[in-house]
Amino acid sequence: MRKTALLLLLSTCGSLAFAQQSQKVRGKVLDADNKPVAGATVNIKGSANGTKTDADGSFTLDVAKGKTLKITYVGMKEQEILVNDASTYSIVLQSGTELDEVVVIGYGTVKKSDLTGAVASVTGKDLQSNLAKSAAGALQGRVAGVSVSNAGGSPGAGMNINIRGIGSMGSTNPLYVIDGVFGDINTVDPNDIASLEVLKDASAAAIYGSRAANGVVIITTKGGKRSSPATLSLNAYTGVQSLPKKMKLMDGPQWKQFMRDQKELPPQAESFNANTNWQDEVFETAPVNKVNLDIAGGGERSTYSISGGYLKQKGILKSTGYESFNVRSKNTFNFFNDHLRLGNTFLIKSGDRKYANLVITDILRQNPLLPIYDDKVVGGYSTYAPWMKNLDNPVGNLNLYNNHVYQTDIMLNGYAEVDLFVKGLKYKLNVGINRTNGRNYNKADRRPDGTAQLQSYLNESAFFNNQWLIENTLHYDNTFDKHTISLLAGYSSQENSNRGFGAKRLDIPPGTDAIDAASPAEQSTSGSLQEAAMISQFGRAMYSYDNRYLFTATIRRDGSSKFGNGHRYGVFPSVALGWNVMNEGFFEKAKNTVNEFKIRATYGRLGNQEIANYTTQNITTYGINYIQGGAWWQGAIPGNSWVSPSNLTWEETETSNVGVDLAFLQSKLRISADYYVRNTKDILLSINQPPSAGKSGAPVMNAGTISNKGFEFLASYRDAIGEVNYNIGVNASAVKNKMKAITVGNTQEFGGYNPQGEGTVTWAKVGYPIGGFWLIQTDGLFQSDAEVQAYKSTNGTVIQPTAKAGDIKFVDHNGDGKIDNNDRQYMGSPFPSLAYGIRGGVDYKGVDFGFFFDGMYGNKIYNYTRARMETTGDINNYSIDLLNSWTATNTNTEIPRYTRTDPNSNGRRVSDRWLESGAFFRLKTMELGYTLPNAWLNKVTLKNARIYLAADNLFTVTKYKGYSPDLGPANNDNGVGQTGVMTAGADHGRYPLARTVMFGVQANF
Amino acid sequence: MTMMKISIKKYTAAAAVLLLMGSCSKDFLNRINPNKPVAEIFWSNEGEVQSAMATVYSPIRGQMYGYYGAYTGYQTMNRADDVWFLIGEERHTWEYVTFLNTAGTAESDFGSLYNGINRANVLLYNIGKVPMDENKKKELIAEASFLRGVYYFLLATNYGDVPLLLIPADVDPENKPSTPEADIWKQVITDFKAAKENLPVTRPAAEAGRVTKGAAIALLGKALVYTKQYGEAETELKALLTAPYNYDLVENFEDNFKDNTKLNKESVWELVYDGKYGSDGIWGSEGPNSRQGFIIPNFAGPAGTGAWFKLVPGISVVRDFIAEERPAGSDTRFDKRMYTSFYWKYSDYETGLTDGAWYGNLSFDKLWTESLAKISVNPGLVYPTVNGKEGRFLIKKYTNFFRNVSGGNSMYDAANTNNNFRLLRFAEVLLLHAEACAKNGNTAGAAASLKRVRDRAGLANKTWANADELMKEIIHQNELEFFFEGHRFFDLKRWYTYQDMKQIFVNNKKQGAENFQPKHYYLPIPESEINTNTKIQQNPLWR
Repeated sequence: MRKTALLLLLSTCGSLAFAQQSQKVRGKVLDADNKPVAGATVNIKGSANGTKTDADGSFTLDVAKGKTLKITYVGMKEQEILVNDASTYSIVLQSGTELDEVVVIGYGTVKKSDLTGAVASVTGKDLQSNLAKSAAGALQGRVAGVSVSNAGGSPGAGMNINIRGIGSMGSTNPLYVIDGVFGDINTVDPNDIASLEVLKDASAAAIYGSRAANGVVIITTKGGKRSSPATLSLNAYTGVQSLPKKMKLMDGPQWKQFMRDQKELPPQAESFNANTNWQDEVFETAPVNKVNLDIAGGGERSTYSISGGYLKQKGILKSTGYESFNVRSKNTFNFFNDHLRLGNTFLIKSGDRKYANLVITDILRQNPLLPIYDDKVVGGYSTYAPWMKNLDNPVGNLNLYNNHVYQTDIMLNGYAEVDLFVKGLKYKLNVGINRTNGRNYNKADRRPDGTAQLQSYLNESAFFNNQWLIENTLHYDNTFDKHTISLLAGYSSQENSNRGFGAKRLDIPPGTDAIDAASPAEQSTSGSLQEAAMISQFGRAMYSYDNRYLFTATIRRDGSSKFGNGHRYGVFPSVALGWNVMNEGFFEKAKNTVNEFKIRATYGRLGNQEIANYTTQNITTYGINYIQGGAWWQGAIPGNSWVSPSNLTWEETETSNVGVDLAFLQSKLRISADYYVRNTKDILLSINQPPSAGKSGAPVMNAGTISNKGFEFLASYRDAIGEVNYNIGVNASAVKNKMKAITVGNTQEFGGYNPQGEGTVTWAKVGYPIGGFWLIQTDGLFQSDAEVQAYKSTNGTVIQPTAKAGDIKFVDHNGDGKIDNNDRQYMGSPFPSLAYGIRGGVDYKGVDFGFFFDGMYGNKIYNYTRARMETTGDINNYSIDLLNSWTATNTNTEIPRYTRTDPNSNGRRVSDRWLESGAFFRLKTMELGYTLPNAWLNKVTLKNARIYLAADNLFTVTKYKGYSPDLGPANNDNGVGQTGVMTAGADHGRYPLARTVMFGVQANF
Repeated sequence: MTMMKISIKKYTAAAAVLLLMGSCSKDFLNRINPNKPVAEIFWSNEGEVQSAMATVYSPIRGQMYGYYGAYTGYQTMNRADDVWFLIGEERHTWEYVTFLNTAGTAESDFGSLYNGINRANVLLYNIGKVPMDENKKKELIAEASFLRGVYYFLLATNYGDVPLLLIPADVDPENKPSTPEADIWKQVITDFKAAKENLPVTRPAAEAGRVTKGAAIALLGKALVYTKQYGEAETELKALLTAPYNYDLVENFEDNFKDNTKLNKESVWELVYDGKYGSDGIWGSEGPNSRQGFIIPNFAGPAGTGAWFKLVPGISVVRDFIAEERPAGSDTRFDKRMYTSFYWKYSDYETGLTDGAWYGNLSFDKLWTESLAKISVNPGLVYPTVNGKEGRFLIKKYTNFFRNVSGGNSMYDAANTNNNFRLLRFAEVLLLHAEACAKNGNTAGAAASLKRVRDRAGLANKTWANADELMKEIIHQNELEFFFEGHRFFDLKRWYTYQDMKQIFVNNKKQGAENFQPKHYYLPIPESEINTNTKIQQNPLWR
């Protein structure tokens, strides 16, 4: 079929470009008012040859027939002219609009006016990427429908990027394509980003088929320009980070008095007189420094861009930090009159992330009466007294453990693109290789745990991830009269392998730092290999008629090694329609008011296969050991672990999207809006099986359907008053997430976050948002024992018989006359009903000012951190709010009575006592810059230079009582323990986000 | 021009072939797990059956999780009045011991018991096809049957009606409803009888710790007593009192709880632990590097000994110990077993004994002072006075009293985790035998076995008028002999009606006694099973 189609194409366009002779071409470039345009650039498309128009707009150039001239001028629409037999040309340039910007889509680019899908495009400048510490951080709040949130704020930790709601119970990470290679956004220095495109709907992302269900982020790094001299750019900043907010805790004397008043002060505590403020001891103001240098330029046949960056960041939690450097080189080469184009991007990033496993809530709960140091204790830091809760000494923890991840990422991309013998037809070979090698390093000194001593250890593990990708694509682009077509067909294969091994020995002698230093008496080893492969075929046809009617159809077929034979392939089609209403004849009159008006509608299906490898293969389980005859008895048995069903197959996401793009007031005001419905069926999920089957683990199954419906809105306005230029942009998005159906198992729900096994707080239940909070509702405090007795069910039983005055009244939701977990009800979700960003900028002469606010509304946070500070069972420090505990004389309070036995379970986790509003409004970034006048610069041969003062996370308006309301799914740092989509909005004690103030310089030489 | 067209055709054809290449790349996508051998190649020789056998033992010996695991099962099974669980410690334990547990209470060991059953079923299902010595095969079948019997025994006593699975879940993946408790017991007895036939009387040194014929008979006897088949029970248990079995009580009661007197003549079955195996942490029970250490001391030890100190003796067991003093002229005032069961300051209540010192020569006063903060918040936890002096007692049994090192109960030092758990001591065989005899009217047989237990405790000779009197003494001796060994709840359940049992708990000031209801005879089928098994129904008492 394809062959026939291609031959058909060939026969329709017989004329071949190579065979033509040069001829002299004259032309004149005029604007819409018929005035000559001086200084316009006239280039022969696909070559470095060109000229500029003179004062009366004229130019002369030697051009072969059949070539295309490209005429560009700042502020005007670019125009192309096909050189035919005529020798003079008159070219009229229309005043330019943003619609002529080129947007990067999968395997190609498209003019914005021809775009049919929901694609958000931001430039490096818009991202304020000069300020960002990470590319993901730069993206936060910038794009409607793209939520970037913190897994934990520790330096070098990744962030969660989520496009258009939670569409999967597994991985919700989008696919990242960096200069044509599937990669990781964290390997890209934000300063290297030229543009970043987010493909949000199925039509836009469909060319990536599988892996694209969570959206695609395409990152294009900066490149050089042809025929331009080398430019050296420098961007450097230095800053300080600080903890924006502290939890209010009791100090030593307050705690002692409080416990004495409660008659709960252990007698031994009397002799403890330290007053340690543990928050002050572990958090510090920490420096951050970043330098980027890049050199870019180009000759007639080549361009180059080489950049290097260095980041050194200390964490606000002492002893943590991140240091990395990266080097990137991007080059293009052209041969045979531009008919052969070669290019490459090489990128290397090497980082050292030092993190702490200090449990954040331990800082808050550790007793202020405990001194920091004790030279009688091994390690030199004091340890909890037997009467205290067994919590680590936070300072000791930071100093006695040493945890690093050393990681080097290498990404190599090379491509060759050749024009074939038909005009507009080209073939491209794209090869990408990613390598991530690294080492985890975990060391602990000999240290105390109360009266016990813990053994020192050194645990190291190395990992080697290799990925390669080969893509062959054929492209055909041409315009016939009013018909513009663009065709793409491609084939790709890729393989990914992760190998790792590790070793650990205990009792590593002091002063040594290698595993060999310790005796092998107590050691453990590990190792694994994961391989995955994928083969894909894909094609796309884009057609537009008269710039009015746009049509795109895409299909991709992917085969994945993760599924069993016969179930490996998924086919993912999409179609999109666009209508440039403003180009219609009937719209002519309105065009002065409404400068642009486009309607888009798309539909498509995408796949997701992000599950572990080999889940359908039946294996023998090893390492279930016992002891016989005093020796280790190694156990192994098949049939012990669940195996996924052999017909396990792709998770499919179906998205329908309608959108409109509008521009008013000479295109100064632009508005875009999109509405989408996104249904994911056959979600891949591990499904718990009956424990009575006696097998371990949970098989991954195609388990149910998730629905996301959302609305996105984007508006921007830019104008000038005299010499003051200003712009403002707003993006907002709303998404409703729902578990629609569960197709396996016995119940219509899956449990999620369960803090310390104390009760499952988040659930995915049919009809409700994934990760919604299900809690027992509280209804104030009982003010008297009589009130307790009067609180009865319909059949007259006292609902909370063990309660006393000052205890919490819980709502008996199911009306069964008692309070238990069956009284849980839906109390809200961690996802906002509205997420927004507001961006603005002003510049006047050399001074520029930019700001960016982001915020969320309607989201809830489960504040487990507070739960730990206010729970009264243990002898540890408490929130200062407990000084306001209910007593017979202090009844006007929300804090229940202090009771260690807590017969009423005031401290129960499954209670909305710990649920708070997570709404916030935050000044995410602010930047004040000054561009030095040219007069100064000429003396030091600087082309331009700018200095700036900037701040990140400067202030947050929120009612949330924890450190930060910006809480995506948790990572595993700081003892959080649980991860995954169901931990979003669960504040188990995350590393607090820092406030950063920085000063920087940008200069071009 | 024609030439050109042909070459273009070639190019295009080549490109088309390239595009269609996916269809012939089946092998490229076929990835076999390189980490674990596929199941199909297992079951080829005896060595593989032996390694499968280790996995059948594993769930029961899990050091933290599992039926005898320190964090889950061991705390749950000690939910009777002989042990108090301190307030503010593990929430799930607190719910179990105060009878506030629900089907949702965390850390039920229901699933881990079935892990053992499934593995036994896998082994029994596949062993037939393994080429090996037939006698050895019979012995291994007996061993797997024994362990399956144990798992069903524990399910029956704890949960009552439960699903009965006798072939692997792989072969029969259907969900199963519960089978009546009586039928579970029948299976238990069948399995133990099968085990008894082919298990060896003794094990060679290289297999020390694996179950023997004696263990099978003892558990068969126990199952028969639990199901009130006393006649058969007496016969079975009596066999263990004579050759070829040479079980006997160790002279020193303490030797049952020390790491250098493991696998002694009183041991009918021990769970074996050794901290030197595995070094990758204690919490994960079944990882290839998981440390196979004994962790109970870390939970039971007093404050200041490297332990978390979560448990103390119940009030009534102290009362019942001090109720019968040893005859005048004995070397100690109290029952010898009391000195192994509790820490206390001897000089408070008697003369002639040197006060103990442990964990780096800490005195009892020191241990008590450190522990007091946690004890004092427990309302009602007041021990009987002795000679008008305040009663002060802490759990000693299954702590590392024999290691006089600072922090000696801490699980973080592997050297502190080398004790074995004495799952079935000969003392239990004697008391079960006495119980069966008493129920059968064989008062002489009952008295003889009872006397051996009392003699070892240093108690005076005693005679009993009738079977009822004997039974009272048997109940009393069980309480003292097996304090904090997880027996008491199941003993009371076997001997008393719900009303009587509740009254005992109330009288004995057991924490949460007032919450005790008939349903607490059993644990509920956990939510994780109810939510996933389409066929099962909750235990009727728990509906």
